[in-house]
Amino acid sequence: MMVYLDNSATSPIHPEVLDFMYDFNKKHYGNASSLHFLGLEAKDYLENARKKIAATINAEPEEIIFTSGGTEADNLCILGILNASKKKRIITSVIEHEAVLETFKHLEEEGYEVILNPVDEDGVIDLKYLEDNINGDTALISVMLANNEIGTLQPMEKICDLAEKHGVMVHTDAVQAMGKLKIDVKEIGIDALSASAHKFFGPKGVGFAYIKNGTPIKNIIFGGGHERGLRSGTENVPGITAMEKALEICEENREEYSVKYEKFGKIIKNTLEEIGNYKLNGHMKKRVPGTLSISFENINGEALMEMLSMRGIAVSTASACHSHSKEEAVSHVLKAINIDEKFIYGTIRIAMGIENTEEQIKYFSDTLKECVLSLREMNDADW
Amino acid sequence: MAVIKYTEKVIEHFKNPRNVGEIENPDGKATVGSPACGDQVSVFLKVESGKISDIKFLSYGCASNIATGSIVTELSKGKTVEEAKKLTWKDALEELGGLPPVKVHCSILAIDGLKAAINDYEENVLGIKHEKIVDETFILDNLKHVIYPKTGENIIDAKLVKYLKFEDSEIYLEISFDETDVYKQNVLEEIHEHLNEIPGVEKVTVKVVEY
Repeated sequence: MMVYLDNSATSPIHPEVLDFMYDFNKKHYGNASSLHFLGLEAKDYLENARKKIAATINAEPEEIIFTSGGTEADNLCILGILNASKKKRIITSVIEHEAVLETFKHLEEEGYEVILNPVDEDGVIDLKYLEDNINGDTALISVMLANNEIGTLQPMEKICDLAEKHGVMVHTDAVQAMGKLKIDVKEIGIDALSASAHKFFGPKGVGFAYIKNGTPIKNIIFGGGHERGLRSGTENVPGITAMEKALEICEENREEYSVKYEKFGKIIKNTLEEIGNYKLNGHMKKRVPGTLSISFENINGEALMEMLSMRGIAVSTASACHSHSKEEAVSHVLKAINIDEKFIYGTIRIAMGIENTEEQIKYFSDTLKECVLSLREMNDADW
Repeated sequence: MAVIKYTEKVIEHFKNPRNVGEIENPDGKATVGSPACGDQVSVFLKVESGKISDIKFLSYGCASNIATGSIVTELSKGKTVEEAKKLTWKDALEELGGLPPVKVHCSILAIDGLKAAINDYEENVLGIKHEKIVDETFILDNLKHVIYPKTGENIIDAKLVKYLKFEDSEIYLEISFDETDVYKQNVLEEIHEHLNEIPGVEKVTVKVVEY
């Protein structure tokens, strides 16, 4: 049996979307900038997708900028907003994805003052620290909506309220949240947001940024002036329309999927009780549906991942012995939430998807138990 | 379900590792590595009339580490102590049909464990004192335990080490890397880890040079 439980890394394209893409690529290959019938038709599809995606997050169509994915959207929002600002302090959380962290690192080298905001043991941002560190020179706060490793959701509305008081822009990397949670940009009060299609059963290589009307921003890519001049380059219309379709499916079935994930989560948790000596990471309630970050005491997470892989189960681990270095052997997120040393190296992430069945989850649970127990049998970890 | 990057034999030994466990009152035992670095192996052995009559291992490592532990115990069981001492990580690697380059360092740990357990046997049972003469040859041998993950060779065979001097308890080493080499930091850390453990070494200086 094949069980894919790594949907936070990437998700398979929904079968309906895949059929749609095949057909679309065959028929509607025009360049949306062309003025003949194929171009006009492509332009129509493009703008229709923009309208629908905007509606899904309660935004205006012109606030949606299509990109090549989450990383580019993060870069556009962060670098673009800073390009239009003279302020030099920027704040992000210690548990961000590399797409944001590395961008901030680059900015620090360019002379920006970077504040890395700590999180508590559940991975929730320290709001007091945030407030204390906002000053008159602060241009931007970038905090992810849902964490990719531990699933914790951030209090974005509170962050936005704080920022608004001080005239600071807020960006959120919503890559892990889009499609899984109801997102209303007006309710949150966010200035900029990033999303990626392949995390919600759309194709790879396409994503979007939401940039609130009136937000001062300058482009970071130069060319033919597509996407209101903010993202030059021929629009990936087949990818964009497929992304819209995938998001629509997620939105329509969100409740159903959440109920399903909840049920599967219970099956897994029952098995965890049988296995014993484990910890669940991240906030237990404020979390993205379908993900579990589990740390087993005295288990080598990489060995467990490989063992499951050889039995047809795909999960991910946040620790690997590739590096042979203590610093790099475990992820920055797990370190930031201060997991006990005996547990931290035994962490795996389960990220369910819409295609998972109860039979698969039962097979996974049984196999997980068998693997953890057999690894424990040969364990000699001596801390 | 096949995992492409491993040979059938690695997978087989990982799925069904031989000689797992502990031996009560072993003649020799040793634990090498550390769980915080992701790898730890313990080896226990029994010796009867100069032969390894029983050997068992425990591991807190990845698939490659467990598979190598399994193959090393299989290779050494029944051999004389002298024969077992001559086993190298290359023998283990060969027996397994190879490992991906980034995983070769895992095979070293199991062999280190075997050698350390034999050492322990020789000291405790035979009363042989192992006096280590720390010189440049000894240091070079030690550096052969540091693997360059890009090629899976040790850094000596990979010709990364350009110069070595050992004087007044200080090691000075020159090593060459491309500026953009992603494995540079790992290798440097591992060099320090190995050299700082050598008794009588007070200072280790590693200079990265471009040749």
